[in-house]
Amino acid sequence: MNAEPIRVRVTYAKHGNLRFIGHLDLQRLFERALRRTNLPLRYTQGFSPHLRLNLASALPLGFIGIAEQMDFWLDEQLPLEEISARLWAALPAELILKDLRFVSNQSPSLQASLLSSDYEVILPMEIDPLDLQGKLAALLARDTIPVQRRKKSVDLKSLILDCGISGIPAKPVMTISMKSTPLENGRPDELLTLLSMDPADCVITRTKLNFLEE
Amino acid sequence: MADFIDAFVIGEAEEVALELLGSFEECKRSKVSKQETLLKLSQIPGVYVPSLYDIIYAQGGSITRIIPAMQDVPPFVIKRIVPILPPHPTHLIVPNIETVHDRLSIEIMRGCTRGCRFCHAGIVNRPVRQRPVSEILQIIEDGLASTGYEEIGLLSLSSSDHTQILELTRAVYEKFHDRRIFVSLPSLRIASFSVELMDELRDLRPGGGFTLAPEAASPRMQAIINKPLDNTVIEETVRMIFEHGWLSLKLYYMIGLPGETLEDVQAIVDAGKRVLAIGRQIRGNRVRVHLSVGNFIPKPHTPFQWYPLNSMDELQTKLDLLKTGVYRTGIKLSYNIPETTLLEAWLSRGDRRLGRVIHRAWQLGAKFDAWGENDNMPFWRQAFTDCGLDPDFYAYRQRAVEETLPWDHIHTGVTKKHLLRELEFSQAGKTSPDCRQQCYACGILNTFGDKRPVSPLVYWGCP
Repeated sequence: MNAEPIRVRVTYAKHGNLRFIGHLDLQRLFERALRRTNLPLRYTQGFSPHLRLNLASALPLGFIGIAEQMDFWLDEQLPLEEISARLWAALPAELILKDLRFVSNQSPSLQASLLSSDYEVILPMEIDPLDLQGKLAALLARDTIPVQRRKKSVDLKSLILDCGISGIPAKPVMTISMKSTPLENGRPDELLTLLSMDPADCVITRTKLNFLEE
Repeated sequence: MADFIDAFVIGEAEEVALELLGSFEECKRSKVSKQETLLKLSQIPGVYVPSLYDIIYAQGGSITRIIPAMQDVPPFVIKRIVPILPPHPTHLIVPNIETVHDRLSIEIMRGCTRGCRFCHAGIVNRPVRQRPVSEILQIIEDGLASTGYEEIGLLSLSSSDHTQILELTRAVYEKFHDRRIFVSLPSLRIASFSVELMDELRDLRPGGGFTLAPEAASPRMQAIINKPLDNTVIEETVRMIFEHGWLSLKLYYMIGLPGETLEDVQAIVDAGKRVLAIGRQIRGNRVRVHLSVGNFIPKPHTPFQWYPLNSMDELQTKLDLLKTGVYRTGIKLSYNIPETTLLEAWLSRGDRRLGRVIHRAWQLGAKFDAWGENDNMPFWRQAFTDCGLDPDFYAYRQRAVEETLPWDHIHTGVTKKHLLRELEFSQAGKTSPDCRQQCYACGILNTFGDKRPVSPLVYWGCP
């Protein structure tokens, strides 16, 4: 076995019906897809070896992701084109491969270097965008925006980096940028709920993951 | 089921499915009526068209005769078999979410020669046929490549009885031990050999416990159901299971078997305690013992088909005895709710008139009956009343051996004479050892003997 594993970074989109499968299911789906590629995959050492696979951030159920990221490792160097072709063949239609590249083993893990996430929300038809804009301004003007998570209270205010509504009046789209570090993770659905919307009525897309610059 | 289903394939569908579709397609193309289509389908051996049979009932409600409603309809339907197990599917749908049995399942053998008298599968899947090792290895290879599964299950009714099982486990280890897969091998006989088999798989064994199915605990009940087990063999097997690394053991038992007394039920608790003591002696307090107890339902086509179901009170008394017995012993007990068993008994032992009951119960709101939180029993009882039928007639009646049973026109290849002889043996406490050693003339060879492959490479369990 090659001492130094080859780290491959995948950027992918998750959409269609597949947006309704959860994080753990997605992880298992990737594992099985990768096994179908018959690539020389790297496994963890130890008592119960697992495929080395690292998803940057759990995408909430129902969200579309258009630039999600994941790392996996190979035991041998292979041309990127070959890895790409085999992975394309193994993935279901609603997981789209957008980019594939090699990454140094020295660079930090995706989770550790993730800073924030950008979202786009297509609002329900019956929402008056101007009215919503007013509500949003009022909300953001507050010093704190406490929300309840299980038994814990979290201040949403400190998690929102940027938020606005564009495309008024014809095609209103809300853009949200929120912290997503292991310790502080903003959830756009919480913000939508505070604005009196049902997140299930919105189409929410995570458009970008922002990482610490190396 | 005549009210809901137009045609059934009885037995193994691999070959007859194509004949059925071909015939159906032809009927569609020539635009014949549904009635004519059904008559045509009934001509295919193994296809049962219930509407083409008339049932004559006696005064008391039992069946006098089942007769073909038209000329050309066969008087009874003999199940279909495939003489050689056909190619195994390897290109399977891989679910995107976790499901039950989320693994590559491979049928290594069909049928069972043990002849347990409660067992429906053991009768209807005769004769025993098995796949050779080389074929199974190829199925695993192709299946893993196409699915990406990380676990395979080698399935059969009694895997220790596959004549090449040791060779198979060794070959599987040899060929796949560096593929990071797990191999589960359920349905093993209670014998130290089964533990040796699992040992052959070494680190391919999935985590979790070992499962054994004694089904009955007292020697008397074991003889009645024809699953005799020497106590020393059980203890030796259990000892070996704990010594070879397992910490948890699950034991399957049944209550409500014919002739069962409370002492026989107590024997289940005692067996659980003995097993736990052995485990603790070897591995200490980390050992877990789980008794999983099912309620016996007398199944059609088995030697026990004439018996009544235990009453709800009897089952409850037995369950209470079990619950009290395991209280504060550290043994985990799981069991079925007697009323769910009763519903299953009606459905599996009923005749054609039950179609109306099912429809009525559904109209009244009976849905998701297996979901514990729904109490649908009032709907079912009401449905029986509305249809003028007595539920107890189906569940609690000892049926006479002369009686025509609702399924008597469906032939599994095993004769009623054989079932009756097994019933008599059972009542006399006599066992019938594995039929690979001695043929009991169950009827399979008479019915399907001409299909038996001449090649000695194709394994049939019959002598």
